[in-house]
Amino acid sequence: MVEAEGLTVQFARRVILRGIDFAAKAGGLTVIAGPNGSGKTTLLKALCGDLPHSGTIRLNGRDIRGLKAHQMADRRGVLAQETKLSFPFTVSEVVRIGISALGEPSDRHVCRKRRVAEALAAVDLEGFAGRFYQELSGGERQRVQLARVLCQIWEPVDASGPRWLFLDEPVSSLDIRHQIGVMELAADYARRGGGVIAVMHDLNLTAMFANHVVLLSRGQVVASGPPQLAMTDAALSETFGCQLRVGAKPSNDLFVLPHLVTGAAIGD
Amino acid sequence: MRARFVLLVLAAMTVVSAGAALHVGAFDAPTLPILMTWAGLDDGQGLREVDRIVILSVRLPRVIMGGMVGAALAMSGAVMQGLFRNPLADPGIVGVSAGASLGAVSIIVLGGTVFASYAGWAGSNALPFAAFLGGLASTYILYSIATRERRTSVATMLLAGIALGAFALAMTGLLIFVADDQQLRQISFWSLGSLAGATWEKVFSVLPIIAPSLAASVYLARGLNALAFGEAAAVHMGVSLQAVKNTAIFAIAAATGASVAVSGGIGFVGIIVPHVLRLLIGPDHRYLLPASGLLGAVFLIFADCISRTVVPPAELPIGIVTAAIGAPFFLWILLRRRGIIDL
Repeated sequence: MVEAEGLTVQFARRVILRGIDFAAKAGGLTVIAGPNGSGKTTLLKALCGDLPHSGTIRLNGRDIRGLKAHQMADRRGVLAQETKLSFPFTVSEVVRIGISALGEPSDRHVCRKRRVAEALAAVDLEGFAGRFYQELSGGERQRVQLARVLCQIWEPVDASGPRWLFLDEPVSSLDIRHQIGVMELAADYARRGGGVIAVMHDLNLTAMFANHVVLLSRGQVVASGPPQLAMTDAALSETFGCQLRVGAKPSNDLFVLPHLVTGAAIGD
Repeated sequence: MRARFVLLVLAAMTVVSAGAALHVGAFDAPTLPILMTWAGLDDGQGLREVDRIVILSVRLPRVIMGGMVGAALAMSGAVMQGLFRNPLADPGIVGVSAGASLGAVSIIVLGGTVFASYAGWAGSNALPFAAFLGGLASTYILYSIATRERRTSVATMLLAGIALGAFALAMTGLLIFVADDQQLRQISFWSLGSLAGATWEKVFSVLPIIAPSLAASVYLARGLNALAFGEAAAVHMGVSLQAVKNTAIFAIAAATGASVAVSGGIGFVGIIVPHVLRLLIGPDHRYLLPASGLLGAVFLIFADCISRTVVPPAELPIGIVTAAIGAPFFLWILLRRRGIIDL
């Protein structure tokens, strides 16, 4: 369980998040959605332990203020929107740094090599191990970073409880095939007992893959619940400030389409 | 695999270059028999005392000093580049060397007047110790400026370091302005760098400073690797950022201050050695840091050989040799591998 109670974050005097209550369960994929500047990324960063905050954030029941960096790292991996590397590492070196982040694992060299290969296969980057990270496209880099994060928290559950995957717009730079691939990977991590919290812009992918949706607007929660309950015409239109229509596919998955009224979609 | 092989080759090169450096010089001496006698493997019959002194009391401490200073400069460079996530960072750039130089020049110019009591108390160690204090002081001031609410901003530190270095340079310039002819000669020789003053006494005075800082640098490897992904990502990977920064900064200050103290301003080792090694074995700090130490040692021992032999019996300041070899080599690499530096 990742929980926040009365979470308030402010930079200088500007309040970004005001009194947010948030809960994400392990074994499910929780999506945070909302318009630009609504505080999605700030909420994710606060949950990661990056930001000074008031209120309480608990990771698997423990207040994160009492957790050290390596204790947090053992429980959750974080994929940022973009990761710049300052030195010419190869793809396999990048992924391997994820494994050794918490010190050398007990299973030695051979396993480490296999783990890197498995992680690269999981993000559809077989054969990229020897390439230079800086020579890859944006979407490929993002998948390499995802492989690194996966290596850090490889087993979704262990004796000390579930592990967590925190993703900030994981699919925004990917083509549609890899968008689906990454979402399936995240959903699979959740199915195997881990927890996933993702900031997403794509409402259709959200409707397809999320178990729980939190809609944010101006630093406050507008709606929260399973997609079927939280993603209504009214809630989405209020959150994003434009007219949106929700429909259902034959599979019962939802889809979201903009509803244009004589070109006045923004600001009414 | 490749990185380990390179480490092994570098270790062998260090031993070979040290042996060669003992043998080469303006004075011919039977190096091997003397060393074997020294190690207790030979009874030393037929060896002259003057040969023994040249090898064991003049060249050996000088080679060891060269190796230590080279390793310290190269590793400080590698650690600072990792810390600042910038392949162009160097203790020379953030004012650590400039602070150390200011300390040394202060003693040369003001040692007889303002700092007379200090100079009298510290004796022959007055200049090295002042250089060391200058390096440590500038690092401390820099660190205080760049640290707010217990977090150190690398960008602030880089900019503040440049400003601080310029200020130390201005103060040094002021001292040079008021210096007399005798002092000017001393300053210019010292500032070009030389290992000519190496003695066992000096070796043992800087060893306790340089050795721990080199050991600490190796311990930093994992943290610096994670730091290459940015500060936030490093914390997400479980690195305790402040501990890594504190250790790195103190190790850099100690190693650089001690090096400048005993050998003056030797430039270019801290930038060129890690850069060459990144091209050879990649940027993984677990290999890069020890390899930098070894190659730095080889480079400086080699440069010192040249400085001793190129215009015998006079000696060229070693700073001239390192820059004269280092700068063109560095430019050649940049031209060959255009675009490898990503700022």
